[in-house]
Amino acid sequence: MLYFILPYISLVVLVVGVLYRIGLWLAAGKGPLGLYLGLHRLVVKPRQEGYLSAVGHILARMFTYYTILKASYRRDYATWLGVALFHWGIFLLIAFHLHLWLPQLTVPESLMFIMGTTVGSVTLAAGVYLLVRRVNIQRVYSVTINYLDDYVAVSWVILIVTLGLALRLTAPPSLFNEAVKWALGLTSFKYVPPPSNPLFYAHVLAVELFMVYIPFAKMIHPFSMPVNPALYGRFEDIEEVRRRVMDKLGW
Amino acid sequence: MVNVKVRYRGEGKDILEASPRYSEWVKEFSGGSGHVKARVERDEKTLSTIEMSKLMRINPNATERERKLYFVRRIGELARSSRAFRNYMESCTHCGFCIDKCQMWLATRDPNNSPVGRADLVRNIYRRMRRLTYGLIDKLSDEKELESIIDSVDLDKIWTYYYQCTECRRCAYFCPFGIDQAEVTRSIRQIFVEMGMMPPFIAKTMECVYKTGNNMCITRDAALNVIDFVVNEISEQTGKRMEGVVDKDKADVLYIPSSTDFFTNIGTLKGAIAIMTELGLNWTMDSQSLEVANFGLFEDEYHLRRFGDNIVNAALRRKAKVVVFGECGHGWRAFKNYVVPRLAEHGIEGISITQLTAWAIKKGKLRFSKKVDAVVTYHDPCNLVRAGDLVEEPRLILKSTVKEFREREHNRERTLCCGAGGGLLLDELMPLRVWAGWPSVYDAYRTGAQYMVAPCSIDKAQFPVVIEYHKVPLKFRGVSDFVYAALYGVDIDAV
Repeated sequence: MLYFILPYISLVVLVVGVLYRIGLWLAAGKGPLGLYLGLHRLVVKPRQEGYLSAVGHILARMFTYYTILKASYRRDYATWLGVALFHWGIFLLIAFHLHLWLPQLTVPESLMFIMGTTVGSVTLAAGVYLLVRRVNIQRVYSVTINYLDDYVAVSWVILIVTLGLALRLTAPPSLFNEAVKWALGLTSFKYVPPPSNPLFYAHVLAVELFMVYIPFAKMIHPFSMPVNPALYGRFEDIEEVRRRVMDKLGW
Repeated sequence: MVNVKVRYRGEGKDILEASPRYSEWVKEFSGGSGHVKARVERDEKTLSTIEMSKLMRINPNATERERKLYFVRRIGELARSSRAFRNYMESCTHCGFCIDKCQMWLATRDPNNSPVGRADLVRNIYRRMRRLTYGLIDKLSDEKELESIIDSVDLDKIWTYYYQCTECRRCAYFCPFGIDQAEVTRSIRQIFVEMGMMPPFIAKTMECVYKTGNNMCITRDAALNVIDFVVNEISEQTGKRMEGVVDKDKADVLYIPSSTDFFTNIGTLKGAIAIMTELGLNWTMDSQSLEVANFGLFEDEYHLRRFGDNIVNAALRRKAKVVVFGECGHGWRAFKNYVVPRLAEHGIEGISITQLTAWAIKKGKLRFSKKVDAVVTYHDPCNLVRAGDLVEEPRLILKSTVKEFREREHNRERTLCCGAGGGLLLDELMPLRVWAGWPSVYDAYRTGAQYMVAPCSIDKAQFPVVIEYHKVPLKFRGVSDFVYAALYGVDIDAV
């Protein structure tokens, strides 16, 4: 049940939940007369002249976290590094796991071991740093961040990475092939028993529950960016305006 | 004492400690800024003139409990009708990056006076209404549940801190997700307006717009008198006879000034008249629309559109082809993002005087007799860079008109707010204002410039006060002032 039915439920909840959530944001619309309280546009970045530049801007925020590095009295290199390593670590770990569905891609076990443990360790360290930073923010700024969700989200990822790392460090080489059979069984809707390993059970279960958790909580944050009116939307092309004004003034 | 040190690289002191008035800050803000409150307009005549009865959606005699209930219900409604509001209520991860980017926090070090602290005053209510699912379950609390929520709602605290936000959008620029606290502030102030609440300064200013079409209650005759005085002074200073045209039947260009240019910022008005004249434009002003400012931006949608439509109607009256917008920050945001699309419906263009001037300089249509012998730094008004796409034009003008232009550290999108935007130019907020403007003044002072310049009327009202309070050897001027001085070789201090 936990390793055959729950994976499908988790995936459906994740995909449908995220899409539904984005749908709710889009359905909220602008407001009366199609305005944001009287304004046509809310874009915060100057010279955003077209939708392509808006997409570039959003992708840059999603994948480079460049605003953290912008100087305001100082540049917060440590936090930027923590955020970049944590998020890129997760992206890489997800990419590595796609190997379960691509057994024809032969990678030496020693290389898989080095890559998995290295990226896993770095991601774990960055996650712990961000959790400590989160606790520390309250003390430094005397703010009250009392949403359980703030801590659950990052702690859960840390738990998943810890279990995965422990599995990678302790599992016998044969586990990968068993995991591949189980994963391919899932895609062909055939039950194949998962590898008999307590860490594997715990790791997969933690991932499944996390997938269910995402749409309900602020883990939804990456999906909010494309529907944030401060980031998308366009200003007019200033050069085009200049040409029109010049024509009208006869310049 | 400050709880977190914010300092420039190489400086040992916190930016607040760098002020000679720091001991006064310690007395005023060591316990936070919750004691500095905007008042609420009670004058029935003023409220009636600005049509508050039309906008109010709750009985003025409602009990505190009923008012809270209305406030909470409207938060739920806004989340369904405003994509921006809903997004910002649901996507914050409390990373805290916005805190030390907010100049109101920099000025007070009060956690409630930071973007995340301010938003959480409302987000805490929203979260409970959404049954802790942050919106996945799109069902609002029922009446019984709302009753239990409203006990925790502190309307006075929300009013206080939502009138300590300048809507500068610095948080939105730095926030990794682009969460725009200014839009949350505008949403909450919209609800307060529906509850009949508005600060007296803003209400009285709006009353003037209703009566005369401008913020300063300038009648047509008074405007003509000031213009007569200005063109005479121009004539004395330059030997040139110019005309300050008002209410011409048909003109290619309608110039919309800031009404404060008729009182305190005469140099900017001189600059505008000189630019129009030198460019040989067929231009006019409209006596019923002598106002670039739009205080509706700070309060509610109805007033924003009503004041914006004043300009559209003036353009139609004067059969203008192009509307040129004078020096104003927040007004430019409303103009660019509401008025320009409305003008476009009638085939009329809308541009800023800084754009017109910069384009004219590039085309060689404006020639300066002598660069002003001054060292100048530029304060980017928040609403020009983070909401209005006007970044390089003022720089081009200043570099063409002054001997030395120095960029300050916090420039362009990273600019620090003046501390009085968002309608905070209130007398009762003066203890807050003098410190909220300090980070920007100190940033300008560190360049070693003699003049701090910005094309914004609120800046022109706020910065001289801040500069004087902190005893900084800086002078403050508008951009067009320097254009005028450079065109005719006039001493900038005499402009």
